[in-house]
Amino acid sequence: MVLVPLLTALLLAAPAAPRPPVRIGLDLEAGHRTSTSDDAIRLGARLAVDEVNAAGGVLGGRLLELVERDNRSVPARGVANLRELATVPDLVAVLCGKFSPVALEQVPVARELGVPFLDPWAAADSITDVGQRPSFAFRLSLRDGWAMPVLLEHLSARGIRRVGLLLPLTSWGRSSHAAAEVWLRAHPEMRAVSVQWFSWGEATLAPQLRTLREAGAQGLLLVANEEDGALLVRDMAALPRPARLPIASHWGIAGGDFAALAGPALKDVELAVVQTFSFAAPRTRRGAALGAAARRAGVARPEALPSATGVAHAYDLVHLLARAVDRAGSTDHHAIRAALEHLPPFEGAVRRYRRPFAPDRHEALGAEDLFMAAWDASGILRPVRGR
Amino acid sequence: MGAAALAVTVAVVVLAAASSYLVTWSLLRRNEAQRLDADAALAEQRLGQLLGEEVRAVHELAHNPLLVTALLDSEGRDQYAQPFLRTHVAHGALVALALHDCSGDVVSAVGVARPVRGAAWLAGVVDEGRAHAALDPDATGHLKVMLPVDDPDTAGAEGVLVAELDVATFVGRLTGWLPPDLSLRVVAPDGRVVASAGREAPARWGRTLQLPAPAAELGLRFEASEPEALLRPPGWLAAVYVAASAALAGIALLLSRRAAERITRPLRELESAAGRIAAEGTFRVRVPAEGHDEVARLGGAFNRMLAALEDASEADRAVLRDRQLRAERALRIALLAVEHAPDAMLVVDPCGRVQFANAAAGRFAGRPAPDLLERPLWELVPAIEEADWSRRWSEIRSAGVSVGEHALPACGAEAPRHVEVTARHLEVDGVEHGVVALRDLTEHHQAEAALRLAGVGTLAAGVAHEINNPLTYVLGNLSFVRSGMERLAAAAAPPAPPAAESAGPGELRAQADEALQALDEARQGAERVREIVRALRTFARPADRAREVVDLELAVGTAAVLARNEIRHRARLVVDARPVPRIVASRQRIEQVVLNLLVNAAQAIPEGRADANTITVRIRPGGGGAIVEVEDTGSGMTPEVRARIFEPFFTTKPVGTGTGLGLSICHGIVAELGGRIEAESAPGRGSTLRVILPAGGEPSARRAPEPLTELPRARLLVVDDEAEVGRAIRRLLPAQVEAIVETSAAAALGRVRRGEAFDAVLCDVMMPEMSGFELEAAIRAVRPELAARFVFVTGGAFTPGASERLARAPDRWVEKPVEREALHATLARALRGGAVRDGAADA
Repeated sequence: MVLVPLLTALLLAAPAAPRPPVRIGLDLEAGHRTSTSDDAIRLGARLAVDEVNAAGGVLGGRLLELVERDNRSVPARGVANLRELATVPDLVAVLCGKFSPVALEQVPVARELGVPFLDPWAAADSITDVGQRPSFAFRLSLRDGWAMPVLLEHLSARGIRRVGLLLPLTSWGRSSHAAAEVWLRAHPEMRAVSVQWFSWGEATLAPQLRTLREAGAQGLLLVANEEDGALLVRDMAALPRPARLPIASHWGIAGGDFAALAGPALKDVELAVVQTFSFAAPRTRRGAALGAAARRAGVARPEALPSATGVAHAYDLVHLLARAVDRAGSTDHHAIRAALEHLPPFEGAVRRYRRPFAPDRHEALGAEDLFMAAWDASGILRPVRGR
Repeated sequence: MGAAALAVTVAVVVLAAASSYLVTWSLLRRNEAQRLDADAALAEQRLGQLLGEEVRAVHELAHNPLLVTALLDSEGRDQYAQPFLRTHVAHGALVALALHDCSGDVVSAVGVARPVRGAAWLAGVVDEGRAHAALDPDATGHLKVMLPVDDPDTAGAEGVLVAELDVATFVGRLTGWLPPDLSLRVVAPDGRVVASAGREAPARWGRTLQLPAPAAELGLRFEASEPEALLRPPGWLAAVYVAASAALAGIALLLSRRAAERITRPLRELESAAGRIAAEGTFRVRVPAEGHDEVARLGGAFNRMLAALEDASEADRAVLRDRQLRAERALRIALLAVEHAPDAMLVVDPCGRVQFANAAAGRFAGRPAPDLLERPLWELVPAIEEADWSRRWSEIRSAGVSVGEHALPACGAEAPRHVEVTARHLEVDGVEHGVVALRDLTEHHQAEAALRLAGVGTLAAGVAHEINNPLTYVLGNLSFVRSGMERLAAAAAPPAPPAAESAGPGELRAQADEALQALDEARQGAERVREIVRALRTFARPADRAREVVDLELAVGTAAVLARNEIRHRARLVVDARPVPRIVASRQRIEQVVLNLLVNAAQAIPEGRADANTITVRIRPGGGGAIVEVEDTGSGMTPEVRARIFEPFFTTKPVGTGTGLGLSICHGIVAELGGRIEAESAPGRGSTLRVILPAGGEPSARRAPEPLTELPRARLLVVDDEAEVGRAIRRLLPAQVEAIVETSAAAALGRVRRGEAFDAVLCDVMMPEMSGFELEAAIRAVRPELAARFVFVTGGAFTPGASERLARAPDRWVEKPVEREALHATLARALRGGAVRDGAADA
């Protein structure tokens, strides 16, 4: 008899039943051995979610929650994950990972399912160029079409006139190849003397390197992920010093702990990599604040964090998504998709966005955000030339 | 009795036939079964190998990085994945390939491929990385193998490679090499027959083949046929045989038992008695001999014979045993004697194969004697040619013995061995053998040659001595007569003018000139005799010359210059000199030896083809010192010639070309130096003369040549048993030297003892009653200072003691025939000690 009033009191004293969270899907290559992009994207997304939640969440107090799946860098798994995530209640969007081949297969599925598909890293041009409206794919990252000119200009400024291209035998490699050819056609003073392709999991890139050198290449344009990039650096360092060529690399190599993978060979090779963000030289106040937030979250030296661009991109994307959800006023995918295309200006960690996306522009960044960076002796990636 | 024996015989024959038939049949059947087992094992092996290759190839394909790339690459894989898969299809049994992603969707395929989403096996392949095999429900005889495609970046399977193998076609291909009575079939787990090969419809499928991995993982069962037994006899035949055999065996048993009672038992007892006699050597054995039939009588006779033998054998046995022991001992001795005989002994069969070889034969062959067994004789004695053996064997058979001498190439030694080969025919118990004895005659020949040369040397020394004495006065007198003639002619007439032909003083002068010319010719003849005698003496006992360290290369060079005229029209001269140990010898002697060898080598080569012939001089270390070898490409020598080349006056050259002393002198010189000289040659194959010189020795003190001094006034005592020699010596002395000539040592000693004054004594060494050395000793006793002024004159000292004595005082003797210069020089040295005559006069 005593229990009844007690229980009643407890029930009355309890707050209103908590509102269901608003979920954001992450489909990352967690099961990939060497990739650190997934860690970076996860960190960036978490820091943004924490900030949004600390400020009261979205839709008038609903907290954001991350739901993660592992695609292990395999397109088939990515597609399966996407289909599965689409069934999660109150899931407002899915952030993809580094691998363009996975993202490229997910984009049509996202459109079919009507799920906003946010890309904080994958760089293949066609991810946002599917040419279908409405498009559900939004990118806050660079694209191959921008990266190639930056790399080639970097080599050109080094006085290199004969360049060798070393590309992966994937859609990413082909996308990069096409972009490089466009630039080279417009710049007849520079010439591609040879294009070499490599497959996944090659044991050495020495044969390709030899062919490029014998073709007369003065510098290399490299499109590769961290493992193949480290392989090339080691093969290059094994050559006598005069035979080594300067390398301008796409940022895939920064998708892992490249300094550790390449080892001591890295300091024997001249290598620059294209980037969009650096904790060592942030371009906005929020960029600097992100470093502090990361430190608070347990990252001792954010400037030494591998794949730092992923942190900043995911961070900005989640903030933009949160604004779009609020703007949409619901978790309705189509409303959110439309809201994303009409967001107001926002100062992110990477840059200040005047209008982040537009119906005809699902790219948040521009070619002007790219710069070249290189690893210093302590393994920190620092800009080599301002842009 | 006869009928019973017949029955036994028939029974035995029938039984033997039946049992042999059965045994043969079962053996054949077993063989057949073994062959079939082997065929099946072979098929098992071959099938496993072929299927293994197919499966392995697919496994390898699944590990190709390009497939991983295709799984991860969403846009461009059609450009390379399909062509890649296509290049692997239609190799072997592979008819289709499909790459599926982890969800079962087709990524790329060659041939018909459908998504396998939801297939029961998919999780096993992708999540657990387990291969799977299944029959294709759509295509009969097609097997699908599903293999995981691993991604190195995720360390897991990210796709599936489905390979379709046409097992029916593959197994059908085996038909060609399967044995005609073996069939194969492939059975699916559900019992369906997938494919078969071989003969149609075999009687029974009895054997499951055990295939090795990875073929074993296919989940299929491979079966081989169990063929019908080839020689299966009808059942009733076997029954009849069994019944008949049993009946016959019964009859035979009965009959044989009865026969044994009457015949066999006594016979067996006889046999056992004989066996005991043979085994125990005793005749104290008897057999039962009851009854009156033939068998009993035979037993009685046998017993009587044994009784008689028993008596005789006791006496013989002791003698026999003793004889046997002696024979055995003799045999052992003979065997040991043969085994340890110094000569090599071999027994060969008529084919020339060695059946026995003793220890010496082993030493000959340079390998253990047992190794020679069953080797052909011509391996050991190459002079006996294989082709020639049958002729030689018949010669040995008909003549009983064959003897020949052969040169065998020796192992390691420098010269071949000379072997006397004696073969005897031997027949033992109707089996023919050849007994071959090899006797090494090499050392025997060498000793024989050395002995012969030593004899010739002694003879030569004696001859030289005998000739030198008369030669001394012949030469001396000729010289004396000539100078006398010159003076007479000059006094009689001035030299004739060329135009003057009239008689008178001119004619006299011409006659005198002719006489002088005749004297010169006589002198030349005598000089030639002297040279020959000197050469003979060098051969016999070369006089000791000053010894020095000889540069052999230089000596060869000097000799080559001297022989140049002989060589240059005949051959090219090649000198191959290597560093050698120090050789101490007379340089002139060594040069003389090399010169002789070079001239001989040249003369063995006909003139005119100098570029086609070579004389090679090799100087190399060896034989404990140095070896100088002169090899020519000339006519060579027969063994007979080679055996005699060191004998004096032995020559093969045309008369007038050589004295036949050259090589004898070489031999003498080299022997004196402690070395040896060898010759190797064969007709038509050139010759090699090898001089082996010992190393070491001390060079002798050098004697400075003395200027010829005018002899002082002196009084000499000249002693020689030949008055002519003494006089000739006197004539060689200048006027201020007075020479008192004595032909007897005793008379000379008498003069000294009587106190006659002499400044020096000139004395022959070899005299009949008292030798020169004895005279010197006797004079030393009375006039020691005069003994110190002894000069010996020798025509050839041929005792070792004399040689040694002269060698000790090399400046106190002159050689006959005496030359004026040598005589003066030696006398001047002897007199240089100061005059002793006055002191003697006082005595």
